[in-house]
Amino acid sequence: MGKKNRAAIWVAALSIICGLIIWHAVHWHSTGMYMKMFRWLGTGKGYITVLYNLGLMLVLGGTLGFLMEKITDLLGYEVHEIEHFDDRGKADKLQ
Amino acid sequence: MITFPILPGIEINLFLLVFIGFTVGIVGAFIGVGGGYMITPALMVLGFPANFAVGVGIAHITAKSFIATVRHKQLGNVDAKLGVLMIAGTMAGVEIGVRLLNWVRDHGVADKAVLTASIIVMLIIGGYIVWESTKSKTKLDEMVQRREKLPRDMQLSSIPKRLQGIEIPPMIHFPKSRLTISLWVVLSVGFFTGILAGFMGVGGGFVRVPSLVYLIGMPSIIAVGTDLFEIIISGGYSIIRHTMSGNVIIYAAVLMVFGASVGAQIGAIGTRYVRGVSVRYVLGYSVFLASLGSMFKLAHILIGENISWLQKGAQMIIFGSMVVLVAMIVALIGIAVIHRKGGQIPVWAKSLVLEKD
Repeated sequence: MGKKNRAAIWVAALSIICGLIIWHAVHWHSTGMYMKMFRWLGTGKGYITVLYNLGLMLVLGGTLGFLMEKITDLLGYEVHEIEHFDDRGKADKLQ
Repeated sequence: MITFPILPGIEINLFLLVFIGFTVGIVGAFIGVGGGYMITPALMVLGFPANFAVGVGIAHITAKSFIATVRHKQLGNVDAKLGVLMIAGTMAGVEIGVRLLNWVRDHGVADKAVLTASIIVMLIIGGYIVWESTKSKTKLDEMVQRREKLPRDMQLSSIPKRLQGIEIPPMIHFPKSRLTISLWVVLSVGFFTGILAGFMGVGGGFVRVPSLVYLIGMPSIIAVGTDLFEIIISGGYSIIRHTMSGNVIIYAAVLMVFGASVGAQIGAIGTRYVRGVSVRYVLGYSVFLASLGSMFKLAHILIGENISWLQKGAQMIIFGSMVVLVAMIVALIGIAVIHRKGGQIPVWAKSLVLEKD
């Protein structure tokens, strides 16, 4: 399987996950679930809100990060590791 | 326009919310900072109360740093080993810094002293970065005139060599940054930058990136990726603290993250096109502009709470600085692309951009 085909599969899968996260966030905002969770703070259920907020940001960050990486692969934009050091001459080394 | 049940009667412009995420995404991913010092005032301009502006900002910063780190990792800009070790020192330092801040507040020395200290620190750091970058650029410009091959990065400081010479075991080698340095030096640098960050009430990227470059001796662009990696962890800790304090409107953060996801790609990929000195220039001016905003805030506190134009001025300066910084970054990337395609670029720009990866 070619690199672009693999990237396309990844983009499709990650887009579905991102779409589900958006749908979930809009749904919970519109149904007032977020407000309900906000009121849990300071009660015995407060830890759920804390874990949810932390988890949502990490999952969303990770998913979007990998989705963007795969989109550039799909577009054929080559991203290589940057060569931070050039050992070919004394002047090329960090001073 | 969008409303949040937690903020009755306040309507927020959805487009501007996403746009703030986008612009801070570009700047943060390019210079390696979370950008809380830009986001908080910008969100306040939109209508968020100060505590929510901080909470939403920090939640979005964590996700944005994750997005930018994924790209920086692909570019080989993340020294995860050094980042993980430094986090231990940073977290301990932040805790001490926060306790110091609370102690100062308990003794009646309130915001004035903290803000004054922040301005002094920002002016020293920003001033040093701009001074050093200008010196490095002058040296690179001379090399351009002599038609010599330019180095990838150059920093004119002898401090890293001295710190790397402190041979207190365990000495640790970091292959990514090509450094061998005592663990205690890494922890100490993390600890002291953590104290500053905790005391100043910020994430600390603009303290940590210069520390990684000027104290540890890391190439500027690896410092950018490594600091963003650290912010995922320190930001995660801040989400916990701010959620518990009831400052996080998670839906607003989610919306901002979508803007940031695109902006962070531009900022991170932009590091492919520039020399380390360009990153330091933008970082230096960013810290300077932030200190200018803080000066307005201090004047507002000193002169009188009723002079609202000072507060508005502070917010507008920081909001405006985001636009200036984005313009600088986009211009640098644009010049580099023209250069790579064989086009003519100004002589002064040759020392700032890379001809090839």
